[in-house]
Amino acid sequence: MNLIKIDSTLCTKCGMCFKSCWNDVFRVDKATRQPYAAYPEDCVECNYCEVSCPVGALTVIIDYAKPMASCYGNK
Amino acid sequence: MNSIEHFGKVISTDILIVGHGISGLSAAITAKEKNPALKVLAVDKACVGFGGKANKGGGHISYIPEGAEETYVEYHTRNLGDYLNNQDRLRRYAHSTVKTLDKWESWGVSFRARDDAFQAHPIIPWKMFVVDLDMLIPMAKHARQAGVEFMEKVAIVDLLTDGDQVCGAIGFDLVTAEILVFKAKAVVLANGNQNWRVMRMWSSSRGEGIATAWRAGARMRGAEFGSFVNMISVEHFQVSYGSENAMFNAKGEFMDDRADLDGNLKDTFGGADLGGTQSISMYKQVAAGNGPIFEDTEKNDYPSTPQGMNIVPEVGRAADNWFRPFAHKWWHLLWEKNKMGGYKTSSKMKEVAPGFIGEFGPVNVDDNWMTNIKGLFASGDICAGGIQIFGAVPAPPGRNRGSGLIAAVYHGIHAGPAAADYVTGLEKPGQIDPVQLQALQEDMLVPLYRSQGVTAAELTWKIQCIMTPVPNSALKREDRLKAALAETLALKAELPKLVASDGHSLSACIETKAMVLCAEMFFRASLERKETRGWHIREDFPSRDDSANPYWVDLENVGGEMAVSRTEVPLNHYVYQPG
Repeated sequence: MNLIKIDSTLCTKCGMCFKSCWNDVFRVDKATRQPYAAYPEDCVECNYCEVSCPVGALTVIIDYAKPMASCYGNK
Repeated sequence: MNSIEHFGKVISTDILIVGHGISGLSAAITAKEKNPALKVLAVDKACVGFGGKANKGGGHISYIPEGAEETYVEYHTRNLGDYLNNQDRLRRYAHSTVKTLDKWESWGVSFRARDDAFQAHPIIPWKMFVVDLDMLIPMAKHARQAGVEFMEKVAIVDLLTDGDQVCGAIGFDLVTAEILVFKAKAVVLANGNQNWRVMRMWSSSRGEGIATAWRAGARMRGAEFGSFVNMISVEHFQVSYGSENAMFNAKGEFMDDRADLDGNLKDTFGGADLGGTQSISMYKQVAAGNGPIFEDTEKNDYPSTPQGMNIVPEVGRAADNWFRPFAHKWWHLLWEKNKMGGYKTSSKMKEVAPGFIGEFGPVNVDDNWMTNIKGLFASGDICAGGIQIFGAVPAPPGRNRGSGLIAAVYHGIHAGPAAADYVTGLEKPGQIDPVQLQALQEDMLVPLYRSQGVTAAELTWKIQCIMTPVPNSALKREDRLKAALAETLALKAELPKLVASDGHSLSACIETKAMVLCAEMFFRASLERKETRGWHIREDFPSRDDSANPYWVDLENVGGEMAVSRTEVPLNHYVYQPG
């Protein structure tokens, strides 16, 4: 599973990560307005959140070992 | 019986656009242009400016210059559409690409090098240039200025109908799981085709719109052609541009059988007319014990060529008139991450494999982009197969690079005004039936009420394992198709066990149901076509059958069962015939 790290010391809580993620990975804490990766298992490493973050507070660390279905099959 | 307000928050609109990706935005803007008095509401699971697939690829735009339209129509019909394309519709498209560009550009998108477009194909006169990948943001801004309204994080699940006409939809808010009931005089489904979530960058296409239309009674056509395969790196999962020209098997033998339709196309940018046959070559090599397949990265210099840097800006910097700030930043980030983190060794030989994408979009629409359900329209990839403009190919048309974006806009600027005209002339809007609404609501929410069962992720993995193998989806044979269909139907039997805990996972359940349904469509339609034609390649019927007129394979929901039938292509009416 990919790891999505948000540096809270840099994060301005602008919400661009929530807005840019088309896989609905992020949620925003109601009390603190701090975004967080609520569903990292659905991250497809498009990196739109990282590119869209205006202050460089977010990093997507890609898990290159996750499984993919076999393209050749067993038949 | 309860009023409809009892079931959830009620939102009224004249036109409901489902999906605000590139085609949905195009439809919304032009519907509003056609009749500014109408309320046009666009909803999507994603936020405005980030939905759909258009912003996650190359940003390539191909068009047909004025005067070259008929050359294109003949080439496409003979080599790509394989006589299943509606030649009248294809000709109208060919004569519209320049006008489509002009319209699209007027919405504030950042075209680059339109005046410097290069010849992208050695035979058909495609010209290609680029657009920056944040294109949806200015389009959405323009739409808002035109009066289009938006809702974000909304999943649309089912359509509400009154007799044979649509009158709304039911869905929910992804974040809060609040139930949403839409009253609408027309609905435009623009929420993409089906890619089974396999290729990760294009996994926003999960086919819910296809399933929504199907459950409401919409017909499907061309479901056997959703089998697009690209070349990907096994190590970092992303498309490996140019690798098709530098592939070697495990014995070190150069695989120069590009298997394109025409040998002259071998040097064409990125492999225009990308063929599913290439994945079959790879599969056969592996089956013969010559796998795995590698890309010699030293022989694939495409990314560092001037054209590569302009078109796929992974390395270096594009020429000034081709430079796209957002695309440059994004592609460079991906390249650096995948190169630094994805590749496990410094060897120049990197394993590549067929990466199943699908691009399955069979919703059948007429010349006005309307389905057989009154007031239900479709636009973009969801109906790219079903409209039969392009024939025996998956979306986008013929897999010519750069043809997808413009085709999606073309769909939108016709479907939107057609929906506006329909609503303007509608004498008696349909009424929502509370009995139907209650039944659909219960079916939609039931995964939330189960305490145990199977998750959407578990079933999604299983359907991916059925769809992904080349011998199931790209190189078809009756015994394998029947086995894959049986496996799909076994998964279908597990759908009533789906369990969800919140709006996000409920949406995943809806998507998984759509994936299983679309797989069933794909295999049933593939079994019906007993010949090889276009991207439908049968090992047991290796030739095109010209003994009779060609036919389209149609699917219809008859009492919950999938009925398969054929409709003869009116070939005598068209200009181009086989031979």
